[in-house]
Amino acid sequence: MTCNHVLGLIDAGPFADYPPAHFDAAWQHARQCPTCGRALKMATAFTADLAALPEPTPPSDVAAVVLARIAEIEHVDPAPIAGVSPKRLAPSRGPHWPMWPSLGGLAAGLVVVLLGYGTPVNIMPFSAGWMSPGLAGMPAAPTEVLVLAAGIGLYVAGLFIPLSGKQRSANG
Amino acid sequence: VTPSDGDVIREVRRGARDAFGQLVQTYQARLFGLVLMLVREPTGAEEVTQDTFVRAYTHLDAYDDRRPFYPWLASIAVRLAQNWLRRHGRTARREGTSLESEPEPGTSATALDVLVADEGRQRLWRVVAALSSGERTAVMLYYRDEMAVSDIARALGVTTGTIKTLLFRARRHLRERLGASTISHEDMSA
Repeated sequence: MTCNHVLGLIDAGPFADYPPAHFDAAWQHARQCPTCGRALKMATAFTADLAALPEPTPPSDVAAVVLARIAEIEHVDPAPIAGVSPKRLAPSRGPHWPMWPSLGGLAAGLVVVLLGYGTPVNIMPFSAGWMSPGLAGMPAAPTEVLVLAAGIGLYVAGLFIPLSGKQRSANG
Repeated sequence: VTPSDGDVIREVRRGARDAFGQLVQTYQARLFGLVLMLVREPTGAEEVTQDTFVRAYTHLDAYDDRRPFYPWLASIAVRLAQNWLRRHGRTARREGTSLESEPEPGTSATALDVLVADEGRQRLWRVVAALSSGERTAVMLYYRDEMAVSDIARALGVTTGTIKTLLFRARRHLRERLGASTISHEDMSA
């Protein structure tokens, strides 16, 4: 048993993995060797002292400062429950795109189609290339044309409003 | 009856922000001691301690309440302390210097001594403070905070083998440095 080996065992502390007989031999060596004996005594002492290292006194207002900072954060970005982002807490309000313009447009188109049903208008009375002459159900009265135009407008608005909203939030 | 950490955390999660103050009161001294040992500068330690609690509050949903609260808190503190050291230029090259060398910039031995009243403990405190960053973190978490090696490894994001090696080196350095300082003290007395 050499001093180097015994000092290694002392430094390994609780993580040295040897049979008990090996430790007995090492501590026997330490009892007879001034260097290793001193090292073992010192290691035992500082191990106990490390466990009892004092807790330095922190500034008295840590809790108050921390709570004030948390309140400030929540004032800017209110989160009713700690650690959960407000976005995750917010109840779902349904689809993000405004459905009503699109649905209105579709409804208007449907009304026009139903009104014009049965009164076909010949829109292509001649043959042009691969297109053959035919009949299509198209609005005949100016009112129907206006309603259809308004419906298409609403439908298109419904499609594009969400896109412009996203762009604004991305820029902001 | 003092409510357990789990009870307090459930209360905080239900929206009682002020209940978090109880956790701060419970752990502030222990955490401040750890952070002070890591950054070795009282003002920096105060800043990192506050940041740790604020970060813990805002990330409380990431805390697994089947595990003890302090190791989780300590893992946040260690990361923030490492960031603080990087920001303030305390590189690994400068750390682990001998006790005889000049203190690192911003490290005031007097300021640390004021916080640790007992003279005998001050010496040990200084010797631990002179260890490398990894060694003193491992020493504080293992010996003072009595964390399991596996918890320390998880907190630091390394293997248990690395922690054992750090503790082995730390014990060797402590033994050598405490031995040297004892010898020089005896020499001076003689």
